[in-house]
Amino acid sequence: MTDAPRTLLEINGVTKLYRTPHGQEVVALQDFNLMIPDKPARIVAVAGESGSGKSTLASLVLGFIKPTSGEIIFRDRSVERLTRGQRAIYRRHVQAVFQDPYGVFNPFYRIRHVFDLAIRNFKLARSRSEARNLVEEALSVVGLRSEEILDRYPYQLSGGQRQRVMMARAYLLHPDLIVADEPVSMIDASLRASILSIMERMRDTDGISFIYITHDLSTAHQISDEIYLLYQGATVEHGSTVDVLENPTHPYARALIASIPEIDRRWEGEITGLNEESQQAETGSGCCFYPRCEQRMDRCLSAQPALFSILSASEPHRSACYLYEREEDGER
Amino acid sequence: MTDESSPALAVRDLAVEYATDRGALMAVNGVSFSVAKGEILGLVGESGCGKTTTAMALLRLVQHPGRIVAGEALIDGGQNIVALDEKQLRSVRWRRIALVPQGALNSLNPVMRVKDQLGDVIQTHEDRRIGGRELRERIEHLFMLVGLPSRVYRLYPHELSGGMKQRVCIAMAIALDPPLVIADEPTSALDVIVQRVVAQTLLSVKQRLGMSLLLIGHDMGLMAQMADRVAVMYAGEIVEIGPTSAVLGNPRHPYTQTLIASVPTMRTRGLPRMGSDESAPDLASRPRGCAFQARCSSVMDVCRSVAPELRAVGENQRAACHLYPDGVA
Repeated sequence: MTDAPRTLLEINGVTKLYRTPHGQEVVALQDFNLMIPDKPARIVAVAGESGSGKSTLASLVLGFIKPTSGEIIFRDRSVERLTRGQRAIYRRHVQAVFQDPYGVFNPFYRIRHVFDLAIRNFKLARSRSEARNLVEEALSVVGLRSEEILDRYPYQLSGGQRQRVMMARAYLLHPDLIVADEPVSMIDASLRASILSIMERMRDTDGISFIYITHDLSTAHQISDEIYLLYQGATVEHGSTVDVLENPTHPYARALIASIPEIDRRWEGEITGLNEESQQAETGSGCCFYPRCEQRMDRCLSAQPALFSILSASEPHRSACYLYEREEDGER
Repeated sequence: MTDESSPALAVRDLAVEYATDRGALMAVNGVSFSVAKGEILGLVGESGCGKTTTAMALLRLVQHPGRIVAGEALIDGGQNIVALDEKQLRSVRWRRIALVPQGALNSLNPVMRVKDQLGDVIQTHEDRRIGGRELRERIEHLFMLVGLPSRVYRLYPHELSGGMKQRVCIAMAIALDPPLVIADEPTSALDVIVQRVVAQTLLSVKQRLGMSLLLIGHDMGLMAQMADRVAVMYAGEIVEIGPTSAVLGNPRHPYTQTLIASVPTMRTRGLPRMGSDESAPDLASRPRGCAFQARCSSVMDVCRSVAPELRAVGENQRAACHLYPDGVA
């Protein structure tokens, strides 16, 4: 055995560009960095609005698309340069749960099929009874009973049950990492907590880390340990979830958090400068939030700000805003 | 016929039935409420609770295999929407009652310029012919009300952002100055900052025009920002109704309590501890008694035999639950 890897996953300076049919370049993700330590398991939230690049990130980590530049490293190995055998192992150790609990099932097969396929493809069991035990265990982890689920068709299950089935399928492979892309956004509020608590339990008892991709900061606040907040493809703020969401520093993060409609707090005043129309305005190489920012300065148009450390925070907390720039600052 | 004291909308015992393979399914099962003049009533609930079907019934847009089987809905104490014929309906829609549709992002005609879509609504529903210049002035006035720049006039829907499309839909809904607007999840597909801006627009338009608003949605946090009163629906019935602060701050029905406990807030971390039972109500085979009995942690014998009625549980607050047999103040 070689030394234990230092990190589970590293995303180093990853940029993803798309080219439109008219030849324009669109930056989906820009110079993105993320690190998940090998242990203990963590829930890392990647949050942002539509178009912020968070689903691009999921596709990159899952290997559906390749970065334009930069590198993704899983257990000390570059994901792009895996051998066939290594890639199979990677595909087993990195699992995914997607947003739409309706679209991922083949409607013609019983639920059993989802598990049979996984067991066959990854050769998880040597006998039928072993396979049955594995499936039963996985279903019990998500609070489902195999005899009530396996012979049903997808349409006979509720959205919440389907999402639990997908969690169970991911769990079956005992992955190190699950990329959960908006796993509760199509589920009614009263059932969300039960899905999210499965993620917590997998982290705490099974040592599975999560990249929790969401547009919903309040569920990120509920379960994540650490958060990356994206805006137009770039990280604008990163740190422990408590620091970032309870003491946001970036003007965008502040506006976002102040706009969440909460049950026990009224919106304060009106927001005016944040009209989305100005979003498309040309900022050249400057800060992409400049057109909507209420604290913008001339400095902001000079270059995209790096992530500056917030010194008052106890844990690493960084903000991509010149308000936090200091004399001695260099990147990271 | 119009009278200051009559509500903008009074709905009584409205019922909508869907014919299915398994028999008739009551999607809306005897719903009564009213919307006062200038009031915003929020109609909240989770998927399948009947909130959108209620809205569609009020516009007489329920489609086969659904049909309105009972009830009435009086506009301003006068016309009963449920009883109108097609010709009368045409004179009511847009002029007396208008809709900001769910998924407004996809509800605009993609091959018509914004000005033509708005112009169409105005031309079709005004009794007289309106000249080009007057029409343009009216549309620009609408733009001003909803905060759209005048350049939108000549654009096609695909050239607009999500928030702008939503404003166009609001502009269409208010084009004929209706006393009542029904908005079905008007901001649900928008990012939170844009959602807030559009919600502000809707509130300011409502204020300026003095209209009433029936706001359909699932987001309790948004209701807290916008609604004067809320009605909570479960399995096609209103289980609790009252002033927003009372229903959200001191919910009495066990379902409302569950719903509110499940709303995350930015001031507390961690997940609420709650039962994992997620059996959605089966509308085709309603149990005897209360529809919520299977999920209710306070269920009693009476709940399995007698359907509870809405009773007073606070000032202007009513809940349909046997926990409050004589009503509580």
